[in-house]
Amino acid sequence: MVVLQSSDGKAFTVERGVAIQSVLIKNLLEDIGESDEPIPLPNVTAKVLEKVIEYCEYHVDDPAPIQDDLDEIPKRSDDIEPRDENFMKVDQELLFEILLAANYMDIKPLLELGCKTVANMIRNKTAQEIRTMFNIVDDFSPEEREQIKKENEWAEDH
Amino acid sequence: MSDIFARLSSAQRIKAQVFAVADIIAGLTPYEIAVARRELLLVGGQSAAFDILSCLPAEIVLKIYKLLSASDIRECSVVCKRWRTFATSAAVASDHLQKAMIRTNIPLAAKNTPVVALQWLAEREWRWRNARPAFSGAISVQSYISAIAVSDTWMVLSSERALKAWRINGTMRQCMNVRGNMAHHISICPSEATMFVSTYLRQARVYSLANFEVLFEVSSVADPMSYVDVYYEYSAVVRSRNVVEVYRWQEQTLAARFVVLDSRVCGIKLCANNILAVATTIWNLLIYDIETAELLQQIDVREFIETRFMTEAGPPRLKALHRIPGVIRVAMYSAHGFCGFTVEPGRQKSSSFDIRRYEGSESLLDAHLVFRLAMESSLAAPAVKAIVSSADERSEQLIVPRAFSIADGRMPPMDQEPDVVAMTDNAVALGYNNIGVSVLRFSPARSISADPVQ
Repeated sequence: MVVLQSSDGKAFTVERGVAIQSVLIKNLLEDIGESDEPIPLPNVTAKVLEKVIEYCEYHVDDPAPIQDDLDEIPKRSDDIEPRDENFMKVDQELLFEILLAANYMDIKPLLELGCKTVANMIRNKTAQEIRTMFNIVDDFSPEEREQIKKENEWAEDH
Repeated sequence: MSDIFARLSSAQRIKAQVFAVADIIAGLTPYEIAVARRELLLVGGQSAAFDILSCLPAEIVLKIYKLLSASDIRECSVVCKRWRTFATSAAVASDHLQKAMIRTNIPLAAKNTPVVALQWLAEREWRWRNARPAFSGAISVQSYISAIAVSDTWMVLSSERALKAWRINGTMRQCMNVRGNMAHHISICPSEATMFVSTYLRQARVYSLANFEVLFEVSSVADPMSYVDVYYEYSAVVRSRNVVEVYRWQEQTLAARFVVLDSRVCGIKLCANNILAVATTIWNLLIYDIETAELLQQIDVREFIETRFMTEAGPPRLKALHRIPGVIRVAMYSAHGFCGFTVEPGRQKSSSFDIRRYEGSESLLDAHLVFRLAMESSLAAPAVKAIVSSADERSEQLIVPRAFSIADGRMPPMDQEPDVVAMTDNAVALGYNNIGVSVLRFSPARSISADPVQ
């Protein structure tokens, strides 16, 4: 068993197999060997860590992700498992923190899942729909808009 | 405490303040830090709502953008200023160009080039995705076809000493039949307003495609005329096999005249930014500036093309595609293959061009690809498959059956090579002497809804 400690001091006891899906923890455990000391995760709050652990527990039996040198191959994002899709039904604030945690803890499949979720939020939407989705204010000045419009027209002529 | 602070040097004070801020930050959640950072970065007091893409680290945003299509990214680029900065960055564009299997660097000198490149990719995606059976038809021609040209809405050919034009718009309707002389070469302007035709009678004429009036004519008693090209206000013609004349045809004036030494011209193409590209039979590509009448660069094509292409006996033909400002994409082709490379002007106009070969040149030639698909009995050619699937997964189902419909249904036998071929991004015309011409056209890429000003 491995003990993980969130930034706000909460300790989570998880199986080794669950914990080492995080490459950060895997490397750490290899370096320090077996230890009962809790592993501090200063960038991850309890709320987020709980979600991350939930993900890792569900995916504990997944085959290890292949180290892909084929990063250039376009990846799909419509292949999310229904369970993962449900797991990602969180507010944007939490989604953001899960992405940061996955990045920090180096959990590739979770990071990918998060990216796909965000990409799916943007896909096939108009700029206005995106603004509404992410609560963004259109801050272009009239001149800039004119400029953008010109660029678009211009490119369509060629 | 304040006493201690007063005694510190200014450098120490700054250090102390930094530590104090670091302490505060250590107590914040990543979300709070991101919001705080956004607040600090915002100038002008606009509302500082949290938005996920502006707060995530750049490498994660790049990952997300990789999952999106170019048309999605184009929408992103008009959401707000911060999104625009990122969505139009060279990093995003080059990612997508790579995805489209075009190995090239985007020249950073031209500020707008990533924007333009994305536009172009978005159009191409759109074209693939929405490739509807816009048109596939055939006409019978019971004689020798001396020249053929095709555009989105026109197919023009010369046979039996006449110039004939068909309008392709749901049907193929013959609109023009002008008796004259056999055409040597026909070029249709990208605007589809005009075409330029050279004949074996030592004549070259710009015709209006609206009423087929002759708008401009150049003739000669001595020099044969061969290749022609028309690009908006410029028209270019090759005389005596080694002289290229560029006219401003509307003003009826000669804009520039270039003499190619030691070899013959085997293809010309007018490009944006007043550039003229000339291919020669000794495998040179000459890049001229029309305004200054200067030779900007001479490129030995052999360095950039495949050896199997070199063994081809006939001279290379030149096709300049995608006249994106800042980059001329050149494709040379013959019956045995294609090769392509990009020519990117340097940062200053006078400095040398950056040339690189790109792989999979057929990915730039949509109609070429279709042509190949139609001609190849096996669809398993991995390169072709990869291109199709990189464009869009669905397009494979959409395009392949259609490509075959011209090949199997109509007149030309599957295994017969066409005698004359003309193609654009959207259309391909295959001409068979004494049989006829079959035309395949996809819906043109025009109506993309990308108007940010609403």
